Amino acid sequence: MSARRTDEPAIEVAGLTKRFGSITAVDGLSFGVERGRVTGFLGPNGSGKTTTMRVVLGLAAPTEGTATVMGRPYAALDRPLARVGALLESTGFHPGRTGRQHLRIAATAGGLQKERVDEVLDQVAMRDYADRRVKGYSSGMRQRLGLAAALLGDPELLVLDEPGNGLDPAGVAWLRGFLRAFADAGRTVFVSSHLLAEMAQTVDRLVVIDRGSLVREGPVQAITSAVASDVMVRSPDADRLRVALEAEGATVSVGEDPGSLTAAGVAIERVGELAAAAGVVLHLLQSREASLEEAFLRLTGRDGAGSAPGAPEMPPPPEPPA
Amino acid sequence: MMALIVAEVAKVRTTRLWIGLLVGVVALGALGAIATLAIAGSPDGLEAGITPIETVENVRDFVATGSVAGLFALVLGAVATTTEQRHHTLGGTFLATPTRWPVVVAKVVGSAAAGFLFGVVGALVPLIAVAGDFALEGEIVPFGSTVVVAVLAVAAGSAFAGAIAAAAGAALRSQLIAILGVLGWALVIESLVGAILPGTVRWFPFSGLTNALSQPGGDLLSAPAAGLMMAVYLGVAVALGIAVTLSRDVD
Ligand SMILES: Nc1ncnc2c1ncn2[C@@H]1O[C@H](COP(=O)(O)OP(=O)(O)O)[C@@H](O)[C@H]1O
Ligand SMILES: [Mg+2]
Repeated sequence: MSARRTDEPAIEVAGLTKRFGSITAVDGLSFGVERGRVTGFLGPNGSGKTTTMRVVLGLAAPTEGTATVMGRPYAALDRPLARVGALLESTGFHPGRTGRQHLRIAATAGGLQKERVDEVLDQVAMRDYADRRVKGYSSGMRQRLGLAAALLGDPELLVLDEPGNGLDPAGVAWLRGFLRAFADAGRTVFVSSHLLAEMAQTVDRLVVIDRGSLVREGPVQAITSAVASDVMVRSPDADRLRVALEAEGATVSVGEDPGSLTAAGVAIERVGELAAAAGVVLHLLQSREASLEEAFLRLTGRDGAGSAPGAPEMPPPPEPPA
Repeated sequence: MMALIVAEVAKVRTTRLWIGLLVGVVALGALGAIATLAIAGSPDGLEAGITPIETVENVRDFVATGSVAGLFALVLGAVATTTEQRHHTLGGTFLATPTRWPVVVAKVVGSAAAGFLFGVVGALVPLIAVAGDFALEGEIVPFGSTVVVAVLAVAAGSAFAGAIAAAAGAALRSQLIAILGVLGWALVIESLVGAILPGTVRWFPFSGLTNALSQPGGDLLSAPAAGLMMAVYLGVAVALGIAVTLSRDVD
């Protein structure tokens, strides 16, 4: 099956709600995953990423709403492994089987070519361990085996849940390059993570969720600059400028040099206007794009400064993880 | 569907459980056979109701004791689905077959095949033992088509045990509960209820129906009627296993 770019999203989630008893894991979530790109699925632990992916893959039934893959419910796909490769956080292996046995069984059940087993073992650099029992695998080796299973059908879409878990830094770097190349070949990746560093360098687009609801969706650039660009100012009269900025609702931090300020939540033009109105001399006025990490923390209200401007209906800050 | 059955058989073949269970079939069968042969015809044996093995019918009934293999088939079947639950492999299985019900059917068929194998081995153990016993006396064991039928009947009963346990396992979450449940049913519940209400025994899956195949006679149903009842039980169990499998969320 050759990968193709069409306007139809690879994944479409619409009004998805999933409850487990009294817990609402996913809450009215809607988003799309564009073809031919790497889309990051970002959210803190417990925000509903795994649950959303399970519903997308037909492993859990939605309480409300729909999820489609290539325009259909996953269960309606013909030979799904040849179209979608998936690795879920909870994926396990029988400890008594070897890696190769796992892949061969998956290939048989999925109607796939047996030759693919050796190919994917090579792709994830697991050939040397393929005939050992999974019982003796490290977590990184398990993760690679899971990735091999996802790649078995040579799919056009990869759905990966925290694929960096258990990988060493070299493994994470390899994974990034692999996902990039996969998308550059016109295929689609939907990858979740709670770790931003993993994401920032790899993804084109982001779907950011918190507490089961969408926070932001769009190109990485747009999200980081819209949400979290800071304005850096240097002024001999920094104290007065700070008062004016704070009156405007900006969050201001003072640098090591007391004349340097960093303001968040205020446009650079407005900083200039405020300085002029207050008659404050500026030696520097510069915008600094925030890292994905800063953007994320602000979007999810976890930067300690409360809700981010422009992020509507932010939930209150979370209780610390148990 | 064929591919799924091949995959399910491969799942059983690539773990060690089946070897352990097959060793159990042989060991328990051999133990029982040797013990029986040792006392058959002696005063102790007569007191215990164990008659000497002299006729083809005696040999047939002795072969039927191989139906103890069904207990091992029950365990194998009960584990077919619950082991996937336990090791979190059900998600991967359903990604390949998202309609799910063919997986249940393949597990039932695969477990039936394994149960059949167990049953053949289980029936051959007493047959070989008694043949050896006769050979030691320089004689040839009485043999006839009725003995062959008994071997097949034991195998069919054991296949049924594997199949129905696989279906039941698909409806349960816990491996332990599935194993204890099917063994408890076959060993305890049927005996208890049978002791209280002897008239019901002929309808029980194991003491009634599978015995009707391998040890016909008495109050038991005729073989065709027993086969039909087994199909009904199995159909209900498979329907239940599929219904539960379709309705549940998987990791
Ligand atoms: N099977 C389940 N039963 C009950 N609660 C669940 C289940 N799966 C997930 N949850 C809950 O749903 C919420 C979202 O979980 P999850 O989707 O795993 O989040 P994430 O993958 O973003 O860390 C959490 O509060 C989690 O405890
Ligand atoms: Mg998760």
